[in-house]
Amino acid sequence: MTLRNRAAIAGVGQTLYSKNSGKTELRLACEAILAALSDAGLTPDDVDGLVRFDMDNIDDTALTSHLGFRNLGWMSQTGYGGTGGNAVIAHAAAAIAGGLAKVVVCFRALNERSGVRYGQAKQATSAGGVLAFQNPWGMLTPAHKFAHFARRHMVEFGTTSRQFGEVAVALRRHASRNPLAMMQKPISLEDHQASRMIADPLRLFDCCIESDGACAIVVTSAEHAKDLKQPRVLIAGAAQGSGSRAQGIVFRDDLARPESTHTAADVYRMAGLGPQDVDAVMIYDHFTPFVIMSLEAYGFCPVGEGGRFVEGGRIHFDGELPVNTHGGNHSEAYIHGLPHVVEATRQLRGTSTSQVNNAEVVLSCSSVAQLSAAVLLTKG
Amino acid sequence: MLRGMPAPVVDFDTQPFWDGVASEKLLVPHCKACGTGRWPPGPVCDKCWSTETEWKNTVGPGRLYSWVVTTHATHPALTSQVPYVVVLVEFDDKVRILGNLVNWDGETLVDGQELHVVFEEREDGTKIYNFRT
Ligand SMILES: [Zn+2]
Repeated sequence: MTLRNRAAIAGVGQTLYSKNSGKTELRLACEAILAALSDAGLTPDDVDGLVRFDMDNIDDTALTSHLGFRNLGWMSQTGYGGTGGNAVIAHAAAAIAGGLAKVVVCFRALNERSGVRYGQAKQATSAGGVLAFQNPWGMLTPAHKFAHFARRHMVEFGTTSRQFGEVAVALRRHASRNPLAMMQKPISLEDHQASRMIADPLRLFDCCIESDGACAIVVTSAEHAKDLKQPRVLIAGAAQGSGSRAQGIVFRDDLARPESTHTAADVYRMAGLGPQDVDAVMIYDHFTPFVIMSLEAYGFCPVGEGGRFVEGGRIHFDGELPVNTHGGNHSEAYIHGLPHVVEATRQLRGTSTSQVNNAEVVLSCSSVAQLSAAVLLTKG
Repeated sequence: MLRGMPAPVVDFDTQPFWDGVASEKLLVPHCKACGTGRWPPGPVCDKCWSTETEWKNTVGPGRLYSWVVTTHATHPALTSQVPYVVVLVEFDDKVRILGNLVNWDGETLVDGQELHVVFEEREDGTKIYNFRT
């Protein structure tokens, strides 16, 4: 059995993205889910499946009570962190192919900027588990950990900070064309190079933003999606992966190649497609070097050549391989990678604000270093 | 030694390691059955799944694998302590241990350069390990 083309994305929705929503995460989630259902031409009465991120704070009984989900029959959650954006879609597709649900809602809601910021350390007095081997030395935030991957890529392949900057410039350009994006002002390579160091080699403009907001996606069977309001987007492939020694992010064997090699092979094999078929890529961009490393892992260039690959406008929406045409975590909003799937859907519906001509196959992938997930979407 | 940072919590799987640190030894867990080094300390060998552990004194020197210079304070206690360097140091058994480079003076660091283990006292009087050039 394969998941290939068994399920489809039928609806997408999101709230406004901001630095301070002034609303509860529960309210944001409800708004995004109702928007996604309405986009599909469905109501909460049609929903019988729900997938949440393991890091989401919302009590799912509160969510299902307020939304009046009367027919819920299947629930799931995904780890880890930002791989959830693609993993939720994989779970939903599996549930539909397996006959466990007919209409599945995937969501992520967070007041991450006005609430608990991932970029600031918790003021804990003690650190247990793997953190006992990190926190006492001032390794406290994601930037502190992921900067080691940037370092190893620079050491092993000669990748430069300016090449990280090429990614930042492209993502900001896309955001400047997207009215939903929080960061609208274009930046130059020089602006990137002048931005302050956060955790050398990562500069401010290598880091994603922090946001409040929510987004939601409705997945249903490929058959059912044909009869709904929007052009369907088929889920041709979906995969998740966990590498060896995933604990603690920086203790994996190889920091220049984040986990995704087997996820990439799995998602392409399931879809019967390869990197040469892909018209645009949505990459989980918590930090710019991971765009470069993901392009290598998913076969768009040889390992070690990602830095040169992103030069010269190649990943701009009007370039050879458009990446994150919404602006990504870097410049649109940080909703833990779920907006990447929303944008992939827009590209295949032809409604992106940085539309790629004749987009028929879009890859969305997330390599949060030690864990990964990916989906390959095609025009229905 | 960074001040004001969270203190390590000792548990069943890490007690022998921290006992070693208290007497200024880096006792790295190795699999008794196949010799594979284990980091961070944990209950099982990830190669052969043995739970038998041998705590080997690791004296070094180790080799620099990666380094990050933090310039932006993300915790109030760090405001007066940036910049500081976090290094990942690899030992002969391929185990990579994380610490601060205590004598960094802004010079360029080089992949593979030798680093030595040092022990220092935390504010609470307990010992902690670190590295120096
Ligand atoms: Zn063993």
